[in-house]
Amino acid sequence: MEEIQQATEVKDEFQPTVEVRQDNQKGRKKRGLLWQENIIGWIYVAPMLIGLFVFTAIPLIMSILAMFYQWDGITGLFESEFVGFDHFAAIFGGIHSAVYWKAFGNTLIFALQLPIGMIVGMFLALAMNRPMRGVQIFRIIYYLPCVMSIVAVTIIWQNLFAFDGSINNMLGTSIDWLVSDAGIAVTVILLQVWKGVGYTALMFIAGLQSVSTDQLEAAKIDGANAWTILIKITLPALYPIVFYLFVTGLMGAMQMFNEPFILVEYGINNNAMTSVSFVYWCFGNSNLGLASVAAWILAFIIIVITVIQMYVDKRKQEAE
Amino acid sequence: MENVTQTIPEVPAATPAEPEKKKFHISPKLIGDIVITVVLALGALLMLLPFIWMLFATMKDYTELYTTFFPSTWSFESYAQMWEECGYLMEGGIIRGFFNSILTTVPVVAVQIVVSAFAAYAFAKLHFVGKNIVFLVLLSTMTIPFAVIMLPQAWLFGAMGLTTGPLAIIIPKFFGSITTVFFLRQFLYGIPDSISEAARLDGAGYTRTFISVIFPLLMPALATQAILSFIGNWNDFLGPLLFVTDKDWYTLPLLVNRLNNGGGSLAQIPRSLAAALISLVPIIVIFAVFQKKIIGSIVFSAVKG
Repeated sequence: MEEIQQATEVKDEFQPTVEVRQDNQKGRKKRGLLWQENIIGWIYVAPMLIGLFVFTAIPLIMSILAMFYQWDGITGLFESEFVGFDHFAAIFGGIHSAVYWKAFGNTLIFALQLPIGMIVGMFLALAMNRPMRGVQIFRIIYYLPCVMSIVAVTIIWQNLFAFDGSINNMLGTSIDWLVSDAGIAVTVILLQVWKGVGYTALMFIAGLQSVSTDQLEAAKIDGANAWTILIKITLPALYPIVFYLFVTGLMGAMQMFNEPFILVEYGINNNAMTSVSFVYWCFGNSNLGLASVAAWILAFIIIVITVIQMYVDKRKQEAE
Repeated sequence: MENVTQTIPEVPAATPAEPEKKKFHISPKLIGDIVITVVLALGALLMLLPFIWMLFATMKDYTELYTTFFPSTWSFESYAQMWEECGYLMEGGIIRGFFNSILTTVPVVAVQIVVSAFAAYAFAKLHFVGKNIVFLVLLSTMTIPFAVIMLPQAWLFGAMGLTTGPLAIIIPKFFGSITTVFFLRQFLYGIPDSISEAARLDGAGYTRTFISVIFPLLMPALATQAILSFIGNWNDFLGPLLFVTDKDWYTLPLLVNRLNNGGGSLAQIPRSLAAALISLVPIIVIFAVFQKKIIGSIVFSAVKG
């Protein structure tokens, strides 16, 4: 008897949810199972929440605190010396400022691969969107480098662009690709464009196929030429994908690490260092406090990009 | 995170090539096709050349590594050297590298996919208090740069005693992946509620309904996610670089990278290229078998993006 009463009480507690749920799903009469559904739902997502807590939330909090400590990453964080804003000072004008901002600038320069890759990808997509024979094979070939191990492909490029390497031999030039600032920038950008352009092109193809055929037919009947159709119909229809690729690509580019790191003597040379290799470099020097400050500058940039993206998306939705 | 709110109109998957007309007159379309095919073929050659160069480089004498494209004499010497060198670098050589890579990908992918599938089912089909907030919190972690959490993670794994073996790159991934959850959730929205309702009315519990009714329907999506996750984990470099300190537990990318950094002399380059090529073989096989699924998933992400 008591048990039944308890069960009813539990049911009553969840009453508001029941109403919401009834709105969502008409005709479901399984109220009695609701408490069970709550428990099951939480059990199903529990592993993800545990993982989030242990492997993301705790490190996240530690990295916030680490910004203010001289932490070597071996002893505990709180056993380290509290240094206040010393690491910030070191990066903004202090002893590490030259190295850090050079790395930051390199990251921005390497990010030029993004617009270049998108333009090349757009042309490829327009070419590969034609209904013709063998186009599927081209799509596969262009996408191939995307799935390849970054270590393996970077080693290939390292040899192609070595000072006595194949590219210089073929062109009869003696450009120090992997030493000079400009040389590294060109090598890294070419590598990234080559590796990523297949993905960009496939995304654009998916977008091109979403252009309504009715609209295209109508434009043709009205006598619009291919150029007008491209500018007035096709490209505007691709805008969401351009935006998506640009935002995700920018976030990826800001976090570039592998290519310059493997390409140039562990990427710790000033001229190939990126924001993330700077963080790794600090790790090598057992200075996790400095690393955290550098990492949070990066995080701040990512947050700004995300906020802009959300703002643009919202404006777009309101406009619709 | 970035792909939640955008709406892109539904599109059909890749259009099959139009049936060619059996007439042999030269239309502008035909000329266009030929020009574009030639241009695309040149570009495709450019995409493949680095790999072909690598293949030939492993069979050349190192003295002609940079000077010729085709080897003047063909030999598999550098593969033998690579085998030997890997044996020096780690116990068990390249075979051990393969073993490590398989150990840190296959079980990881299997567990990750199942855990993510359960979570996706809960988010898509179950109703529980706090569902939307939990989902948003998980989704927002996608925007956290790895650089922010990687060093405290390294410390944490060290404190847990995981960094001496492969566990530091295995265990964290057992807890599911939000990208996979997001993808599977979208897929589950396409499965009508009535299917699971029917099973439930027949007396099956939530877990049984999921395993025996929903899981089979999810299989195609799970397979796609498993393949993508496998490729990502197999190629991962920065994670293992930070979290695997014992040389004997190096995954293939780490082993190849180490081999490449081992010596500066020209004579050693063909062997690192040989190791790099060998490390690509599983990915090439997987890509060859599943290219439709892999490319299809891009179309999917572009549409749902």
